[in-house]
Amino acid sequence: MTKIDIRFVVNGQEAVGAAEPRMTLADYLREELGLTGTHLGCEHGVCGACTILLNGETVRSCLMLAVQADGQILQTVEGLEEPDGRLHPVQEAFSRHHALQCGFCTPGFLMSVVEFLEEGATTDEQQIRERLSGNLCRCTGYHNIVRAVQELAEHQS
Amino acid sequence: MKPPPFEYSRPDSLEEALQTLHEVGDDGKVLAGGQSLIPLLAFRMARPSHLTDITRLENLKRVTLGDDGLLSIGALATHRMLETNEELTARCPAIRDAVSQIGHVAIRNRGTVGGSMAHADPAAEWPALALLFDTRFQVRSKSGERQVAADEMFVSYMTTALSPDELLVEVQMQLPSTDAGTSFVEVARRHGDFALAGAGSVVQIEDGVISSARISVMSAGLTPIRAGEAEEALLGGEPNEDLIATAAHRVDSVIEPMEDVHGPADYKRHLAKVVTQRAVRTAVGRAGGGSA
Amino acid sequence: MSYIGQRLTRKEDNHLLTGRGLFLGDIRLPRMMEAAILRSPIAHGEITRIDTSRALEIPGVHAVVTAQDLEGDIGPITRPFYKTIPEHVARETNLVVHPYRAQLLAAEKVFRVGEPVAVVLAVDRYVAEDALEAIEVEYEPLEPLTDPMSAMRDGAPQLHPEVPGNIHCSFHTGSGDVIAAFEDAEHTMSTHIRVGRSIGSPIETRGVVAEFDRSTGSLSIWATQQKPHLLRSYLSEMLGMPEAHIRVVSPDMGGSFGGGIYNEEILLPFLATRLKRPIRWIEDRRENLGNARHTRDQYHDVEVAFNSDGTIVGLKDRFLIDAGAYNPFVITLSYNTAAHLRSEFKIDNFDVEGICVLTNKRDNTPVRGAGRTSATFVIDRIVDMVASRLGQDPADIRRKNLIPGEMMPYDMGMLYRDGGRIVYDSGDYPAQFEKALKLADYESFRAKKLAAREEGRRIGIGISAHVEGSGFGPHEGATIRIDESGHVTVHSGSNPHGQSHETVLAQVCADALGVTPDQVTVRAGDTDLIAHGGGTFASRSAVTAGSAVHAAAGRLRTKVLAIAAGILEVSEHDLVVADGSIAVRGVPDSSLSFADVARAAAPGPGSRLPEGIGPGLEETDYFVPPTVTYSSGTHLAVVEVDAETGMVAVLEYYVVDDCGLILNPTVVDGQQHGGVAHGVGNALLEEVFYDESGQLLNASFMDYLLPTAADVPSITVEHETHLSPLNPLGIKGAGEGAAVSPPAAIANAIINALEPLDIEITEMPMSPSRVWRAIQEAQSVGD
Repeated sequence: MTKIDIRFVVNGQEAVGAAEPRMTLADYLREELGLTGTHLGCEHGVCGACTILLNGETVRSCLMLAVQADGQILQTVEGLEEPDGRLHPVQEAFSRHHALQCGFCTPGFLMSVVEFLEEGATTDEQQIRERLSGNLCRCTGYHNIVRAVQELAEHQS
Repeated sequence: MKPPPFEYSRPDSLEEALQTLHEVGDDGKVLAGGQSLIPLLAFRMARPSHLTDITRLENLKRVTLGDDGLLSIGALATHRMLETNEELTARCPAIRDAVSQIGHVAIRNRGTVGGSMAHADPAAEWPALALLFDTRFQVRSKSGERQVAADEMFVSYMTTALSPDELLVEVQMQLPSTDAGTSFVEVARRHGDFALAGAGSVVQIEDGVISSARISVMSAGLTPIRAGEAEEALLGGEPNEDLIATAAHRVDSVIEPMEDVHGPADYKRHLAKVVTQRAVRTAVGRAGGGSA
Repeated sequence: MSYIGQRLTRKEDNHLLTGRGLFLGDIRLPRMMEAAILRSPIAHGEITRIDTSRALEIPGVHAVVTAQDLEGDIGPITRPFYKTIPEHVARETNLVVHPYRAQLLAAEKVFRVGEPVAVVLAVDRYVAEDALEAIEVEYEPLEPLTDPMSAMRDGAPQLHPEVPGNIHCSFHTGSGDVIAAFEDAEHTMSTHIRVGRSIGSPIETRGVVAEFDRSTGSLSIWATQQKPHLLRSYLSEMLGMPEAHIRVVSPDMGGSFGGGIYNEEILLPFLATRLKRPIRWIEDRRENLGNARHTRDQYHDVEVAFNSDGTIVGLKDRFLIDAGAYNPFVITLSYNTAAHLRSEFKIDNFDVEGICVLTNKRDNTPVRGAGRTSATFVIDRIVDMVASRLGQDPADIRRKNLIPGEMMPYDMGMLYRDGGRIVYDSGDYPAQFEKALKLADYESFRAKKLAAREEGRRIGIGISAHVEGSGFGPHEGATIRIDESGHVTVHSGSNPHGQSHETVLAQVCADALGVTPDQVTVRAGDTDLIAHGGGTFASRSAVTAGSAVHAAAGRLRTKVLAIAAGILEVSEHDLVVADGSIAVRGVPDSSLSFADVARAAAPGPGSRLPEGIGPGLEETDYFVPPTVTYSSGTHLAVVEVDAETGMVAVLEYYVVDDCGLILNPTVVDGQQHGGVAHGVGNALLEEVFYDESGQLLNASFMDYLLPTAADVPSITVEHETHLSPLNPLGIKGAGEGAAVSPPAAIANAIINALEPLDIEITEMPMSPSRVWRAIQEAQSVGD
């Protein structure tokens, strides 16, 4: 298969490369661009570990072809922190609340929570849980993740 | 779980897309949101020789709701666009009821209405919604255009009336009058999962009796199902629990649910009746301009 | 200032939050080949033909390997994953074990769907999967054995020549006199309880990276492995290489709830030595569901003898385990079930028989809970059944049978598989119980239930308790070193996969040594770091690694004080150590930093060491637990049942836990939350299905359902702490206990919710269709 040129902005920087059309965006980010913070947990769109922001909206990067991202604006977990290393408020809240244990599902959660807050997150526990139900975690039992999101949502309002 | 190899084109115009589909033939597939197709590729359960990526056709993304209740949905409109449309939700809550249960936000950000219709999974919400309202599908091909009615569209399991060289470009749904009650109810193992059973209902009440009724059932056969006999059972009757139960029971004769790891067939059959009852009950509660 | 007991924020968070983790799939080496494995599509059969030629023609394919290519160079795995059961245990339990042998790649026969048949090595995984499809294999199918009963029947095909009748191992043990107990009892009751099959399913799938360095003859392996030292031992034996030439590293791991040594972890490193290029294998999720080891899958025939006052006087259980095609953990799972079956109850007359039967499925092994979940489900259902039969509140029946606090430590009359007697060494089960009931406001529940019923809602409350023999041996170690910058490093064999070792072990070290946790770096999961290691499994790290760190740090502190005393010309007793500084009591200006002491201790003519003390600041300790130490917990679940659909929602969940000394409360609470969620999944959602031909029906995460944030409620956790007498700090394990009780608590709550319908639940998970059917059956009985 011949490779197709791909050019997009990721975490504020232009990334130029090429990939076979069948290569998923998740694999392209990880293998071609070295952005290994986005993880693969299932490769069929259920676990949410591969969640990134595309033009400000969450997408499962395992359910996109790399070529489809051409010309778009992407943000991955590596782009959350400040250039000087200060953590994004969502990252800080996760640490404060012990909302991660093994950390494998965490990048996907962070991107989902960022979108949730952008849209104006609620502090209602049931709604938060439903919103987060698209990201699977096997370690934390979600309890502290919900606490972190509640605090972030409260802080916003 | 990596996709098998395929040829790929990404047309910039509808004409180009139709030309490509014409050339590619039977072995090709259209790629829109990819939320259904890409998992199939990952499992290597689909092996198209050619993918025609239509996601650049921006003018297929429009959604308009006319005062007459005609909802025109461009094939590339995402589920999320429909879900978050407040005007639409006020006019017809069944749509948000249904669409908000399609997977999760990240799926709904990419997945398209056209893609869901063309994929024709009997466990998908959009085909069931298509049967719930008067729906026409605008289809284009290199040789021209045609309209397909909802009751002709879903031919069999994951099979529509579309030929491989045809592209669904728009879905037009005539929403019921503003005094109708609409609803969509699902039962799923977890929030956002494919439903074990689902039903949509539209009900109009005049002078205390049901003057019109529509019921469509999801996840209960090879295609979405219009439950005509159940609808008939409601007509002319007072919308009480007994009538609703009788109607729900009539659903039995038109469904053929399949057993899987989530439950045996008799359990799913039972669920189909339960969701029908709940959908009709909710629609009744919302009818007459009231919201429930 | 004690760091143990503090809710310290984790040291490991920063790199995980910023996408800088190094998980197995993130490792890339120059010239690395990507592996994919061709797996058997049938459950049982003979291989009649393999043709790899078409696969080799695909551009980018470097090699295709079958069993034939291995012949003579590397043999099957013949060592099971357990230390030999002590002789006296084998005798007392009438233990029968047949030899273990597992082929690395299927040679003549396949014994399960998913068994590896060939390995492809290619430029990337895309091409490797293309190549898999080009390998032609023909099979002659044989009758698949898909349940233990049919596998044990006369005339069933024998799967392995060494295992007659497909019964791989069995034991029969107990305590007291069940015969007399059952004769004398006022009532007896028997039932059959089925525990379904499930998997651990961490969010990261398995993987291996292997690199052979030709210039040094050394092999480096990265693996998603709980026990790196054990893997090194297997590789040394099977590859014929000295252990010193093999390094096994567990990188950042995305969770691990069970495992053992996997074929891939031996095969791929071997191929790296042969093919002389690094190899990476990342399992995909479909593979993981069928090929990461499974768990549970048990059939229990239980009988209970009890009196009208609610006292349980005898318990008998004969159970089968559907062990799968290979049984590498031998009796670990089954004996854990037997050993924990009586839970917190005083049931002195006990008889238990556990039989592991081979079938054509994936191996059935310990996964979080490790047999205790099944045991607890059985006993807590039995207790509630007794309550129901007697028309009494299940809480009262439990009160009658819990081992009273004043009788602790309590000898259960049986041996544990590590050789020690099962003695519940510490705890106060009635106090724990009452605390849990109070936490859940059990007394007010009846009123709440009535009020809900008036609204048309069916809510119920259920109780479960469990014990957990934790801190399993045989040993765990820690090497602690202070460098000349004054920084402390802790090296341990206990590698974390989310359990916060980097923080918790730093807290233990800080307290024992006299430094701050910031001054400590913990490293684990690398066989180069420490000579002997156990690994992280069976809720053992806090107990074993924690104790080893404590001991090593204590000895190091003694040495530091001796050296400092010499330099400052005072007695050790006059010195105070705090936050990395040693000062003369009352004379703060007269002090030394740890860096100062480290420099003084450095070898060379300038070293300033007291008589009899050697150079360097390093201590190693291996903690050898005398036997397991018993954590315990009482759980209550409040559920709502939709009687029309059988769907169950868990509304509230309460935990009172005894894990001994709590090293970091936030970490321990996190383990409780995670365990409960895992248990909720096991209770309501997770089940592995095989059909009659041995095909796995759970092909994806749409078929194997993990609990989401919407399926698990917030969890209220409190502790009822009793220190363990079996280690200096009094620590008990906390990693698994919370996963053990939820299915039982939820089952009991479902039944409670549906009263007055007399619902029977004897099977888990309580999927909606099963709950619905139980309701149907109960309703038809009433007709």
